[in-house]
Amino acid sequence: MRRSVKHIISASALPLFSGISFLAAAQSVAPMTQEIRGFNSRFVAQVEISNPYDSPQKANVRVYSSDWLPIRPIYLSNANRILAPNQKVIVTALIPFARENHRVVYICNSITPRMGGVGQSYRGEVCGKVSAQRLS
Amino acid sequence: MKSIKLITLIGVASATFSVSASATDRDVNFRGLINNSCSLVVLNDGLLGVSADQTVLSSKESGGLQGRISAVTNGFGNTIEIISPSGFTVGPPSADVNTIFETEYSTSGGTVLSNLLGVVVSILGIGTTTIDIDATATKTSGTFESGAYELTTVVRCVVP
Repeated sequence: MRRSVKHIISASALPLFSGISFLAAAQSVAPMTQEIRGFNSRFVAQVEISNPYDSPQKANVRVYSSDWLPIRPIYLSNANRILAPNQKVIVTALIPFARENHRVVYICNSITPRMGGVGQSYRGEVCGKVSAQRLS
Repeated sequence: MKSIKLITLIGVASATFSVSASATDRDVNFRGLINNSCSLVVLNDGLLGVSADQTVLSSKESGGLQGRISAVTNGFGNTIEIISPSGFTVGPPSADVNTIFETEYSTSGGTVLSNLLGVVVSILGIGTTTIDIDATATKTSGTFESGAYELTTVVRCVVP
């Protein structure tokens, strides 16, 4: 099953993302916006997440619909991962169109660092917007 | 005499050839892409102070401290919003009963704003913006009992 999912991703990702490169350094999410077109009933989105802190941090990746309801992707790599300082990883999400021809989703990377506070903590959440169009 | 003419002809021909060779130059294009990105770094967590009547836990009360976050963007259109907590992450069982949560923020640096409610979405300017955040929990009825309290506020950077 895992192998077949990987196969689907590699097959559909290559033509879609040949024009995308990841040049930003030490950022939480890049790119912040992207447009995808495809013929399949599902689409692949990729973002690069990174840990901008100088200490290891746990990064949690979630996917939301355009009205900020949680979405469960068919496949999501690196959803929960501890990142070393300034480490960057690419997150791949395989998301269904869900009977729509146009779907907007947000891929969010959140980190809740412990910065020595008492009573309050802050979770930084950076969300990349993905607009997908199904061609048929 | 003939040889001089021949040399002259060869010279003219080679000059013509070299001119036509330079006309076949081609442009070499270099392309680059910098993705629009946003980075949030929590510089310090906050402290909750308590009001004299124990009905308010807030960073604005005596002994409280604002949280501070740095946002770095390299493109237009990124926004910031503060999502108020829906409850305490740590606290006695009665902590969330009759309790409302609010946040306020001010920014400096690349974007300058002051005393906005957390629900207000603000557009970030390019560069580094420092965001100072207050969080407040207020009992609409009763008081906070003794114990340790903690709440988590979400700071979200997104392109709407």
